[in-house]
Amino acid sequence: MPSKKSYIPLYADECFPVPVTTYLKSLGYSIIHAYDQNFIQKSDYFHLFTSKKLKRVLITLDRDFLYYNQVNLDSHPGVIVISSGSATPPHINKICEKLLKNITKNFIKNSLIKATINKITKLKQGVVVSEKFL
Amino acid sequence: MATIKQVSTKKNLVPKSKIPISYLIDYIKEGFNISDFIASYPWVKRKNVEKALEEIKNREFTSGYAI
Repeated sequence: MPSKKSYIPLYADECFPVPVTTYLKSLGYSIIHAYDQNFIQKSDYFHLFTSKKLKRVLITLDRDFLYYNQVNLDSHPGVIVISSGSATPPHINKICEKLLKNITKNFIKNSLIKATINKITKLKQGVVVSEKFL
Repeated sequence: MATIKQVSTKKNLVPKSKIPISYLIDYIKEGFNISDFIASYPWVKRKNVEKALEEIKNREFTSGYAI
């Protein structure tokens, strides 16, 4: 089970594979998938807004978020973009498990995190703020 | 509230979904099948996944003959 310190409530958009949410739930994380809410075929903006409304970190595979350079995430719980090189659940599971052990709610808040298997890059309005090797 | 500057990132998507065809290719490359893909994206219809695969096939042949 994740410790209270690392507890991060998550909201997965429709690009995120459903079996990965099941896996993360089995590890004790609180995660809601857009599919559970019937939020399918919605815009990126909608998912950003919804995650904020639900006070959950948006987790996605959608790399479009990395190119929204002017995105203002002030008072947003944060966005995690998983960049794995493969969209299959085994790869995503591995990255998520490693990532979520290494970050806190406060670390993600108001920021966009790009996560690969061995690196976390934190961006604010398109500018790299910090990098952390896993 | 968060604001987004719209950028043009035209992607090839599985028909009637927002799932990139590149995700489907990852599944096939790694030995998964259409059912596994649908398990990941249960709202995507099998016929649309098959359409996406047809599209990949047609594109490959078209580019081959174009040379």
